[in-house]
Amino acid sequence: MTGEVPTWEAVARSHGRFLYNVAYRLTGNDDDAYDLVQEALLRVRKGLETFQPGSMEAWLSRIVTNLFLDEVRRRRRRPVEALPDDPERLLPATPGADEATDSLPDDVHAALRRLPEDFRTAVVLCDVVGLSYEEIADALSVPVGTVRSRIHRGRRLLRAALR
Amino acid sequence: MSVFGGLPPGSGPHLDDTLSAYLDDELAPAGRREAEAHLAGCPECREELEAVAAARQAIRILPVHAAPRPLYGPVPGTASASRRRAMWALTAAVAAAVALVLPREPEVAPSLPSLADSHAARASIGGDPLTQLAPIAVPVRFGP
Repeated sequence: MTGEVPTWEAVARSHGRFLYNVAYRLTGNDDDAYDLVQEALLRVRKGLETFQPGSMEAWLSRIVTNLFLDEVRRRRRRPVEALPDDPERLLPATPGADEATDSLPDDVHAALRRLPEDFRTAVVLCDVVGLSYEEIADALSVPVGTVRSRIHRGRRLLRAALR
Repeated sequence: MSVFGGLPPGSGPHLDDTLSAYLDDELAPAGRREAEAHLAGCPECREELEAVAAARQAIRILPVHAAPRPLYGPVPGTASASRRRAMWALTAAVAAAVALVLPREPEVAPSLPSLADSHAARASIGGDPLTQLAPIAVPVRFGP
């Protein structure tokens, strides 16, 4: 039913904030997040994405995540242009933060953006978006066991970075 | 096979990523019970559980990050773009009106510009308001 297909303006108005936040946690910065959201909205506008009845947020997360991973793969194929982490990206030590829950949001974000993309994506879909392992497996086209492993390893790395 | 007739708490392989599945309530009841039995006797797994639980919580309580610029709205330069469109519409409307009033000369084929103009008039009058709200189609590029 075409009536169920959301228009991109409706998506932008009602879920723009959500979409942007997910894009920001995936890409790690505002410029890339903005581009990613524009691209996602454009795809919705052009009707290039088939709306799957159910959770709008799961659908949008899937679109934005796949665009993000496509770009990551593109960048990997262009090793010359793929810049290594610059020193500013290096996570500052957070002395005195005994618990990760005491960490400043900026530190947590910095640690998150330094995770390998596969781990970061799984962690964001789980802990920022709130998808189940099965939904994440579906979005990423990987087995549930892989999702479980990536989430766990991502969390362990985060914890180590925040200690 | 244990001489105690069953695995003592904390025995068996460490839980590893089962710990995250446990936290996320992704284990079946039997798996959950097994994990709890292991945790009861394994300080290492309890410590790891605490670590991943802290990381999980740190991400979950991150504030929603707001976009510093509007995600949609008039594309930069749209004000002048819409003025240009209005001028075109006016010109095209006048051209169309003149075309109606003027006697037709059958041997003259319609010129391409006048066709384009009348098309522009239709397109502008019945215009797609979305064009002013279009997301900016920039190629996605990541990197610092």
